[in-house]
Amino acid sequence: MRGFLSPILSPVPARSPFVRLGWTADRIVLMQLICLLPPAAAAFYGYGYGILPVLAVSAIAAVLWQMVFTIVRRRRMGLDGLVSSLVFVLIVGPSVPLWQAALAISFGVIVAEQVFGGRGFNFLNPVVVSLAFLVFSFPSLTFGDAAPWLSLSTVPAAAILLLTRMISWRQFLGAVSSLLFASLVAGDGPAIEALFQGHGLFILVFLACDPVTSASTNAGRWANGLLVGGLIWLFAPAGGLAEGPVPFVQAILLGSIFAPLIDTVVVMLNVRRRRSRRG
Amino acid sequence: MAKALGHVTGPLIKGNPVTLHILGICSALAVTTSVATALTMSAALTVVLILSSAAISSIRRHIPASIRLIVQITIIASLVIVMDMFLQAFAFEMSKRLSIFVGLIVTNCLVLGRAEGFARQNPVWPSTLDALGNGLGYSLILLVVGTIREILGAGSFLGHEILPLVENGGWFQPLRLMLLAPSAFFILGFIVWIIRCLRPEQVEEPEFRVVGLEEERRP
Repeated sequence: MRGFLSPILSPVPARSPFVRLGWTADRIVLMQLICLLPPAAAAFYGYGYGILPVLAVSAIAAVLWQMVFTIVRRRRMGLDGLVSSLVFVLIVGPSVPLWQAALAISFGVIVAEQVFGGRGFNFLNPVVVSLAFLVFSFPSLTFGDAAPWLSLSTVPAAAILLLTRMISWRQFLGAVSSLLFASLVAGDGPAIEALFQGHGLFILVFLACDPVTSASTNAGRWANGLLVGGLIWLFAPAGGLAEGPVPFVQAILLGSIFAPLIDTVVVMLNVRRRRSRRG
Repeated sequence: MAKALGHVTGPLIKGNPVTLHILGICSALAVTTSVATALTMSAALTVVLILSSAAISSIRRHIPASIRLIVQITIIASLVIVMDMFLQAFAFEMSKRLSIFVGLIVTNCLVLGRAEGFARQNPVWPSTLDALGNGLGYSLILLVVGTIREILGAGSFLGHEILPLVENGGWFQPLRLMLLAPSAFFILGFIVWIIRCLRPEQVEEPEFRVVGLEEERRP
């Protein structure tokens, strides 16, 4: 229990790759939880109390699996499970059967995150994998309409996370600009309202810009962002960007898979350029 | 006798061709959507494996080393064609469901692997037993994967409904993911995980270690 509460009681510095000085993995997770408060409030306002059982079941499943793995591996326990389950529930909404929600989040947390060693070592976001599991397993499941204000209430979170550089502005801008550009060129009209009406901005901020599963070189972040944005437009039915999270999920899944390759190419080109400069 | 038995039992779990050598994955993904197809494929592969190992082992002193792969593939391919035609003649429906995967036994690394790794250097009887053991090991994994996928993906076992489906008035909502190829990857991964937990000597050396992770562990 101490390990579970330690980020609140006494922030112990945890070692994690690619974290800037002064930021520990625990503080980042706490920050994410704080940023998730306005969207959560919007979801309660939009969905009503129906969201509570889904949230409870998902959170218990996610935290439970994380606990099992951290105890067996004798690692410290973070609050990542709470963040994952909260993001997951805000996207699926209250219409999902409870056992399906529990199964999907368990699958995501175990297969996409914990088997690789927990948050920071995964290459796919557990929430994206959970959502993909739902989409592929239960094709008849219809995602509820996004809670009104969900994406608008993400604006402060986006501002905080971008300003504290917890998510990359290159990744974010790349995704948004290629999404807008693609829909503009295709004649679907600008997708700005789609971003702010549906799940759009929320998914972009919390899943597409996840620093662990997106590229980690600056040029790679641009490429990764542009790729994800273009794929979202490609997977969405014409003009139907606001209709549901499915195209976003598929695009982010593919984008995350390509992120390590993009980084490798960027590093390779950099090495070649520096070598040729030295002659 | 004990040694002969070891050829058969060794590849069942300890040296399983699918979970230890990671061979024959393509067909393990493709034909395990139902138990019936998995069993037919297992039988076809086991028969081809036994016959090809026996044939290659019996002429092992006469195969020139430089063209041995060509000779081995020719023997395997002939047997596979016979097996494919046999299935078309006597089990046409099943043959259609298995589509090209019986024909693809030719390219199954498992068959060539046993020919190259064992039958080429050993007498006929041990080679036959080794082929039987490997065929059974492959069949075991296919059976397990097929059972899990059919029960969770269609609620049935060998076509008999076990879990009453929602569409038939029951309670079970099948997981469509289980009928897609990726699910076999996950199930195989979990099986490998379980086996390596029970037999830690199979665990491979990690390719790298994360610096600083060890001291973070609590004693």
